[in-house]
Amino acid sequence: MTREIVVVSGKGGTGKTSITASLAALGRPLVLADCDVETPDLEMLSEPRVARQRPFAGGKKARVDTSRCWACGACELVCGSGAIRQGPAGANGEEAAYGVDPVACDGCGACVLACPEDAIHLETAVTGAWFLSETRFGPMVHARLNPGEDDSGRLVSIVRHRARMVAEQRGLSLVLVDGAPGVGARVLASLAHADLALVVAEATPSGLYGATRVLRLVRDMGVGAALCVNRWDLDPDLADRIEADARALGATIVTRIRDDPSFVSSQLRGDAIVERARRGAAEDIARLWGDVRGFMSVD
Amino acid sequence: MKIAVASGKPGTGKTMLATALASVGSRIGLSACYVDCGVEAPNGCLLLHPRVEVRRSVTRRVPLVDHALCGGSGVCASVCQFGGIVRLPTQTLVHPELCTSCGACVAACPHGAIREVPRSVGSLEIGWAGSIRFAQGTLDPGQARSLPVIEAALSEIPVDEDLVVIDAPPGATASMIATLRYADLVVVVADATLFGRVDFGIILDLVRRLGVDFGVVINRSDIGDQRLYRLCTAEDIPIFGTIPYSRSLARAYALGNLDAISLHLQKTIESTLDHALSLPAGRRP
Repeated sequence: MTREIVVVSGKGGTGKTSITASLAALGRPLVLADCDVETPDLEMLSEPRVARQRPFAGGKKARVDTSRCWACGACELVCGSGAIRQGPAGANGEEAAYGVDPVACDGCGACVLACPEDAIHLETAVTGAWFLSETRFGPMVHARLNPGEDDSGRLVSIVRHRARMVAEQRGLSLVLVDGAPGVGARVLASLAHADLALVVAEATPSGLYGATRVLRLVRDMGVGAALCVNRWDLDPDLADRIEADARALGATIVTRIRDDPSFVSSQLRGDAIVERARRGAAEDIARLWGDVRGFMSVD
Repeated sequence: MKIAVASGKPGTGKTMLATALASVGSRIGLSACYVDCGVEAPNGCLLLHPRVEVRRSVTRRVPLVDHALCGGSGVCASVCQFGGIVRLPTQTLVHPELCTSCGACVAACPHGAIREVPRSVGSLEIGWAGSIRFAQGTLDPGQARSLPVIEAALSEIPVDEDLVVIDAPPGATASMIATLRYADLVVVVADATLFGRVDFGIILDLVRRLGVDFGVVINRSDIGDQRLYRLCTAEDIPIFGTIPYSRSLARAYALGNLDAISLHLQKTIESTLDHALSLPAGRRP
């Protein structure tokens, strides 16, 4: 049976992606999935060779047929995104047709309904792409959302579904997901079929706050949670408190990771930290992987 | 002047710099305001320790179907582009978390059976951190769109403030662009790691496309490599400061000690404020 581990963190920059890469190195072969589609950084540590690529038709954009528009302005009135505006007047002072700013348009179609001349239509727009690649850890599904597009939940779902399909096709028992950041709908999408949410928190006040927010979300979704404090030695007392709060929210506590400069040096080399080092944070992550395997009862 | 502090990669030190900017600005006599738009994880309060005076919920309009009037045509479901309203054999069902408040279903319903009602998507806290005016938006967990909460927080900015510091959400989403559009100057915080540099590239494209004045602060400048620094010099991007990694700074942040942080960042803050004040008057409403 395929198991799915999703690494999340309420606050960004806690080491989520670096830890994911290390777990991939320890658990290979497995299927990697990067659900952080706005800033897909896992690919820098896993060096994917793209085997298949697909456009993501993430939304629709309105388009004005200027030959039919006689500039009544009904569309501009109903647009909640400020995406539709009249063009500059012509040389002889004739009224210009309306036009759509595709970055601001969220494709709701209110203008289509409002236009009395039937001059506006919705067109499918490509707002990103997803990829199936090979890495040294196993196959990887990843994606890229164009900057300025907001609705990444569906793209995240595609990545996750694909990763599961690949795991089944290749007979791999584990899918490791670098989850979406934050606590919005894209995090729900990345957690939807998780067997375990591994929450990475940093020993700072914002780390505590972020971890608590995402742990509540994980609990409400009925997903099992494990909590790992990263850079725990920044503030050992706070690390204790984060673990106590997490335990109260039903999470299992796994091995803490120390603050270690080799995270940065291995990132610059494009490696996962456990691939070169055996001591320091690498040792902590190896123990963490043991904890997670025990929790998931995978071999 | 309105300064947005942004970063592509989260966790680069954006909130640390933004709160210190507001704090130093206020200390040198500017009327200062700090707005936290990082609504998925608003952290500025952990450093500013504000006294919150007003707390209210942020709502959006979502459809409510009057089942007595509903004729079951399903037109609403067919016009909705987001799956926010579904026609089942016996009833019309609304998924409010997917709704974008566009009003298409209301306009399209042939029976006038749909009206819009407010629904909470987050909250807004307003108060004071000493002499700094403070506003923070917090998104309800699981919401698909953070823009309404960000717009509510931005709408709290008084027009006559000398210095407004906007703590932008990380990434490159539509909500992030909305905060940048609001600013006279964008300070991009990046770290010298590989992730930091690549994510900086994404933001660089965005700010250039928006045509807003911007500069860079390189955090943890000594624990990555020199490539980000070289990129900025090669492309004539102003560097407002480089902040070397310091355990005492990390510790000051962990303890929420803003005075100690401000002291560490003094040079960076001064050159950022100098640059902001040197912008042509037209750029400073």
